[in-house]
Amino acid sequence: MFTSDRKKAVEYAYKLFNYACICLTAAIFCALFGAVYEVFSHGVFSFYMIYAFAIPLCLGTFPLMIILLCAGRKTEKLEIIDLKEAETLYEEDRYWENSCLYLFPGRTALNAWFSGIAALTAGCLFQGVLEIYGTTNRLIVVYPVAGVVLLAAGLAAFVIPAIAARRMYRRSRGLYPQ
Amino acid sequence: MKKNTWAVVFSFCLIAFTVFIALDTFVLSSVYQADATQINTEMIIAAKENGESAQKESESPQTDDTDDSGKNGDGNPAGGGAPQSDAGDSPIQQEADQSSSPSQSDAGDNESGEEKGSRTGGGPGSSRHGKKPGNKPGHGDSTATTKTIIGFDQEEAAESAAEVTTDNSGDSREYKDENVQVTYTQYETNGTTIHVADVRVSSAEYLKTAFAKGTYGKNVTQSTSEIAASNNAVLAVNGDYYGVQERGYVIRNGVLYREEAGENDVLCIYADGSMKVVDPSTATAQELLEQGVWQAFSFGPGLITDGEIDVALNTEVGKAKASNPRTAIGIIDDLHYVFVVSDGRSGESEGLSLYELASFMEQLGVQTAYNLDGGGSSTMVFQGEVVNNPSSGFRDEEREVSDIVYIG
Repeated sequence: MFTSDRKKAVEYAYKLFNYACICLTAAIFCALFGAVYEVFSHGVFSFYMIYAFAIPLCLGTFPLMIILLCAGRKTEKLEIIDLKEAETLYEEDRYWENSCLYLFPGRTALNAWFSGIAALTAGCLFQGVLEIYGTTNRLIVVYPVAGVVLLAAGLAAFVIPAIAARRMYRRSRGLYPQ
Repeated sequence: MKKNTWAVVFSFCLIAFTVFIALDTFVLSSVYQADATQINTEMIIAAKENGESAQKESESPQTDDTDDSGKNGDGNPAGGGAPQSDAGDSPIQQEADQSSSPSQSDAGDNESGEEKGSRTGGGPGSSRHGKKPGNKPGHGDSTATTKTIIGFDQEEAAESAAEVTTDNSGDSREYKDENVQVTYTQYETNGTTIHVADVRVSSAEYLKTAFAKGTYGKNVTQSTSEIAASNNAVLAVNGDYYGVQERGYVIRNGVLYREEAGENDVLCIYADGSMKVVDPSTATAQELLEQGVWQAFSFGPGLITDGEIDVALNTEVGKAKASNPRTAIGIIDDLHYVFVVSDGRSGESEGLSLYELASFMEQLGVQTAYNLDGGGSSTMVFQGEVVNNPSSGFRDEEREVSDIVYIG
């Protein structure tokens, strides 16, 4: 990789680290929200409210930290690629991302994944509110359905191109994937 | 901005949907049936005819019809066994028997000075009767304690340490007419005030229910006292708050309103006055209606079945913890009911767990008991006056509910 590419990789890693911190902040907020809500609920509690913090933590912070740890090691071992040779095939950003696709999720994957986390977390908190109040609402099913669909889309947007890019990258053996 | 377009749009959609679903759940009302005040009198007439024919059949052979523990001839379960009035009963049961005014057959022997069939004033702050519920028929003095501290069964309720004190303040009231007899008594136990209304009626048609604003719908609410006043109720307690549930049988005054089965056991009050807790998976709402169910409530759980406590020490409604205000209804004997409302969530009253509530009602001699909506909804209105201390959120006032059970 060129120095600029390595710099971009580091910047992208920082971006993912920021996302991980945002997810951690969301998890802390959910935990505090659940604790405060339970204080004023006259002892009535809900497991959805109590464990809502686990969604951004387990689906956001932990996977991103794992990716950063794995990507960090692999980034150092990447071969230097001639950018000019591949400029006819990809834009610069896409080129760089493609060369590291199996290391980092792209923007589309991240958007879908975080949207899924947001939908599941919001649904979990609202279900907790309903349980504590002692009522139900059929529309609550929209949250988990949307959340799972978005998570699946985000995973697909990361995994499928990553597998393809990895195959092409290995085939090129140092050249930019054709 | 282009990079964050998706985040902005999705956040907006998520917030908008959350606001909508919150409004739909808590604010927006939906009227499913306006003027839901029908009373199915045919069911009562049919039940009376069945009862008379059964009585005629039993009159020919001299049978002892005092044992009501089994089912009667038409398959409807009897509401409860004979009242536990033996000498070997605990003082609590004896107190409850003393506080229970006689049935209509003994009304003539009452020496309280009240006129038979007289109706007391219905406004708040109405004066109490001179008669105290401790009187037995034919006995003129009123020396029985009407506000008694009761301890629970220590062997079973390990968590409920009994605190026994006595109070002769005499906080008891009564209403009586030719068809309805209601005796209201206050109890103190475990730091909780419990309000008990002992009810005897000549027919199950006097045990009615009413919807808020006379309307069956979602988020249609009104305070218990207002609904009671609209229906000229002598005694009223909050119902099962059907309005916040999307499922659960709703049969009121012999009319079916909702036939979607819920997860909770259903309390069925039949037109012949009997009471039974039914699993909704065993019968549809229409089948229950055809069996003669006069009222059906979906909240639960059932507290007492056949005189035995039916809840465990750690049983709770949903995820509620122990001490809460409670509302419960039970049957002691034929057409002899008890309404129980406990205070809670206040400095004066801690509240009761379901097991404590069941244990208390067991000591009253209740054969079948069922838990209704509690918490801030728990309200008892007697002769137009709220007699308990409702606790609704941060305010000590009535919570608006969707339905009531009343005597009138």
